[in-house]
Amino acid sequence: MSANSIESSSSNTEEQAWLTGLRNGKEEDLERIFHRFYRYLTVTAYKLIADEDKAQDLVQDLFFSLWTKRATLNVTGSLKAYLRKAIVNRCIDEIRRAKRRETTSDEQLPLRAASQNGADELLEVSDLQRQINLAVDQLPERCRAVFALSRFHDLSNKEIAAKLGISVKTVENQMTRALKFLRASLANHLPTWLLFVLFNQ
Amino acid sequence: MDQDFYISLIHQDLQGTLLEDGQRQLAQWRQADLGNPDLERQVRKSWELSQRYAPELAVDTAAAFNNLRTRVRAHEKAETATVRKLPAARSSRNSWLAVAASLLLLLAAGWFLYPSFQSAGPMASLETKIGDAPKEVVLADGTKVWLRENSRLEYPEQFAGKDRRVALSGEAFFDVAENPESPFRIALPAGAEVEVLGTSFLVRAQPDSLVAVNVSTGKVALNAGNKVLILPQGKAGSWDPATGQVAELNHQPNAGAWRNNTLFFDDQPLAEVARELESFFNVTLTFGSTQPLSCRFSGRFPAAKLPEILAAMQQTIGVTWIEADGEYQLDDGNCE
Repeated sequence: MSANSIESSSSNTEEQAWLTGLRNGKEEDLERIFHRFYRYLTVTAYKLIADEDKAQDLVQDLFFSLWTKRATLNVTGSLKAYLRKAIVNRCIDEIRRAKRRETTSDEQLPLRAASQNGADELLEVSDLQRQINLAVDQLPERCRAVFALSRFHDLSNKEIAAKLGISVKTVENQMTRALKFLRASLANHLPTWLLFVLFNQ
Repeated sequence: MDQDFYISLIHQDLQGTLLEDGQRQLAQWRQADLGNPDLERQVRKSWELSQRYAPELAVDTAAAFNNLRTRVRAHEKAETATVRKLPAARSSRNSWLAVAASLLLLLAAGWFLYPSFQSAGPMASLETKIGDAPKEVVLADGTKVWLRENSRLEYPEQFAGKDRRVALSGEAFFDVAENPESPFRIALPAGAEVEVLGTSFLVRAQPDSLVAVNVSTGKVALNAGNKVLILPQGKAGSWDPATGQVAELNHQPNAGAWRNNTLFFDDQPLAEVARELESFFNVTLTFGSTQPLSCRFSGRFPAAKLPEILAAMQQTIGVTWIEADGEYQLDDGNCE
């Protein structure tokens, strides 16, 4: 169950009313849609590109084009699904642009602990989660994009390769790299006994 | 096969894309080393935990929307401006002719090359600065000229020779004394010239914009380069100094409204009325959600003031408005 699903509570009829208003150039309805989905979309973008400012810019651009193209808008499924798809596509475009700018090919993954708690301190599952969150945050740009498309958007390696314009082999490599890093971030910073307990639940 | 290969297989298994062959390889790998099942469990656990990855972002939705709104409104304004630059298509109407019976309106733009005045004797000039009230002058032949702010007119103290020649930069309204023997000519930017073939007319010329001539009665010839545009009453013509293109437009009855402060609307669509009010009063008019755009509006407003006109709109077509910082939003309207 994704944490994001909490925010998908706008009813379909409500969304349809907003969309109708939007098509008629009602700024209030643009605002309603914005208020409902802005955070969700920003977080969704951030998970893919790990740059808060850029994430917000992309979401802003999305809403701007939602407004300017309102006359020809074609939303078939839920509004949330539509917006999510739109922001993911914009992120992918951004990643592809960034890829062209990228000069260093294989960044070293920095290993850093969320907390330097000693083994004598009791660690809980939430600490483990925090450790993973931090590790995901630390994934380098391209590795993170590949990981996020797989993890949060259920894309296959083949689909990711097509979207990012890279080979399936590269996707597999980046994916493996991400998983190894996440696993290591846990293994390196938790007491072995706790690792054992947690991982064998 | 190295560890990475099997991690990739585990990932594909998690995704549900691992084929039978891969499943078999993975099963063999599990048996190969005591540490391998532990590694697999840890990878699977990492995958599971990362699902709940939720970055804590400091998102200010209200501020972000303000930014969006600013951008949207700037865009809308730019769009409106683009539309406004185009000549407004107007149907020919006769009723305004009564109002502006003896007026020819001439619009011109830019700095210009004065034609030679050598033979015309001593020259005089009239100048207005930005914000000045219109100035009026009567020329030697009895022609009346009203000069709008930020304009300059050069004219001879006495007209000599066959033609009556003046030069204008800015905007002016001409009421030309009739003399079929002696055409009245106004030198315009970059060598263009307006020749008055009828009785009276008005001239305007602003830098860096289209030269436009707006004809109420009589006939005006716009001579621009090697092109001549004859404009009968009820028509307007334009010349673009940048491209040399001339074009015929429909007459704009309120183009000279600054001179006598009289605005006139003859069953015009509300959007068109709004555009004229915007340029005349230098305000912004927008339409609210109820979009009273199907309304049409008529009326003649001497000493025109915006509140009066809006009040008349409310009375006749039920349009309401709210004002903030020179921005008026129109709503409602009892129009089919």
